[in-house]
Amino acid sequence: MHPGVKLVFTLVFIIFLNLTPAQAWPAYIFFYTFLLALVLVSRIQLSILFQRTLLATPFILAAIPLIFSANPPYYSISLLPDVEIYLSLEGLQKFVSIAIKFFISIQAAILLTATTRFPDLLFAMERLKVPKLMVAIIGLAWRFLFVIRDVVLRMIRARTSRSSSLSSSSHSGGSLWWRARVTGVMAGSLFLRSIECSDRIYAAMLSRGYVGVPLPSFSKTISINRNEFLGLGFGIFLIVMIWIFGLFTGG
Amino acid sequence: MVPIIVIQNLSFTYPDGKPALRDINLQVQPGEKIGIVGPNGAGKSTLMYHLNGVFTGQGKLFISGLELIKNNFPHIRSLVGLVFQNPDDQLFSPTVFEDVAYGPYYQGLEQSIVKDRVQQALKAVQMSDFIDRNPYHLSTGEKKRVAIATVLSMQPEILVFDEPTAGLDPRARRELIELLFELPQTMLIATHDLALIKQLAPRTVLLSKGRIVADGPTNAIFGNETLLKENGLI
Ligand SMILES: Nc1ncnc2c1ncn2[C@@H]1O[C@H](COP(=O)(O)OP(=O)(O)O)[C@@H](O)[C@H]1O
Ligand SMILES: [Mg+2]
Repeated sequence: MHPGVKLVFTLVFIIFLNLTPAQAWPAYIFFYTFLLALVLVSRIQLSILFQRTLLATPFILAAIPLIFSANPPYYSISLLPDVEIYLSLEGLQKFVSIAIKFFISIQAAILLTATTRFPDLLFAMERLKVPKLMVAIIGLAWRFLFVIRDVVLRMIRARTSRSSSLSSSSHSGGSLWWRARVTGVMAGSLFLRSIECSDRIYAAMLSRGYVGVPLPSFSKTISINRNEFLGLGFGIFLIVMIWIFGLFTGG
Repeated sequence: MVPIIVIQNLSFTYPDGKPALRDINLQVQPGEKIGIVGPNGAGKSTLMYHLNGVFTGQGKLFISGLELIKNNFPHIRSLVGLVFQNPDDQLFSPTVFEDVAYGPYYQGLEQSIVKDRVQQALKAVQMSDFIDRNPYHLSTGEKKRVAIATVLSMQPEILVFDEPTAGLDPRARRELIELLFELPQTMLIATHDLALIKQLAPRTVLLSKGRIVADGPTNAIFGNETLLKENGLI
């Protein structure tokens, strides 16, 4: 399928999902059913989907204060005889709504990245008139992520292999302060390395004629065909229907 | 004699499911110098990383009679000095001194002893004059020597080299071979530089697709042209 179609669909899906009011439980179910149907059609492994979702869970914690801070009525729960906490029912519902939307959005994004090669996504962004410089930055960030990950892994490996102790020595491992300093130095040298590495890459780009304007991606400029267009239209229509339904059922 | 390295049925698979070592069995006597040869991707580096617990696979590994298990990692790392293929990965301090001092200092040795160790190690690799330089700005050959000094300063019993001659010019390469020749430690040298092994290692282990396909006197293995050809070494 054309990457542009997938990108637009995912964006529309996420936007409308998040515009759906809180507590529109049936609408959430429809959204999720829709997404799961696409997941099944795309044949990506469910285990991959859920593993990656798990990685994003910690961000939900940010919404937890809602449970305690939203509008009354409050319900008190006594943990110990003297310790009571007040929960707001509305806050709890808000939190659950946010958590659900968050999970569905994340999975939609995962579905997109799992079925679309990254360069194709960049290409789609370009076609959708995202500024070229921005596309170039996203592209470079993606590349450096891997370079830096490799550098860090190799440095850590080299350090662990030299972190030994003598059975005779009572204070091996060095002082905490010293270890902190070594780690700091390593981080510093990582920083220098990534700069020098990017310098080398930049020099290589210059020598191949780079003049500050990012090259357009090399993907073939296939255009969206009629069926894809209809499919996209139908998908967005469904999303809007679910959303309207959510407006009526939400609180 | 009691072997200094014993590897029993070692297998290792990378997290992405790529099997890199299959059922490796190997014994090394103290003082032996062994060439680990094999084409790219044979699993040489992976095997080297196992020798001091940077990677851990299935099977058993003993260094100086100590089993390679988590509790023994610190002690075993002081026995096995691993010299990485790319010296840039090994050198991360602002000065040569600090890099070479890292190992002994980490072991908890006294400052004065650490200094002695650093001087000895740098002398052994003929880099004493570079003690205050920034390792990142040395030549590849010089970096390689400093990288070797960083493990020599720990006074290990076993030295493990991953592609020691990669990226060296002929002169730096010759000097490195002379240096390795003089070092008394037990040595494992992973490389596809056959000439290096011919000069340095009486025994050769031939690795291919994660398995040991030959293990014996270097002369015998290097005399077997079909074997070398089959394994992409000539
Ligand atoms: N980090 C890694 N993740 C997955 N596979 C790896 C990794 N590193 C090496 N490999 C694979 O393991 C095999 C052995 O690699 P390696 O030990 O580096 O071989 P050699 O050092 O003999 O060239 C190769 O097929 C390589 O592709
Ligand atoms: Mg290698």
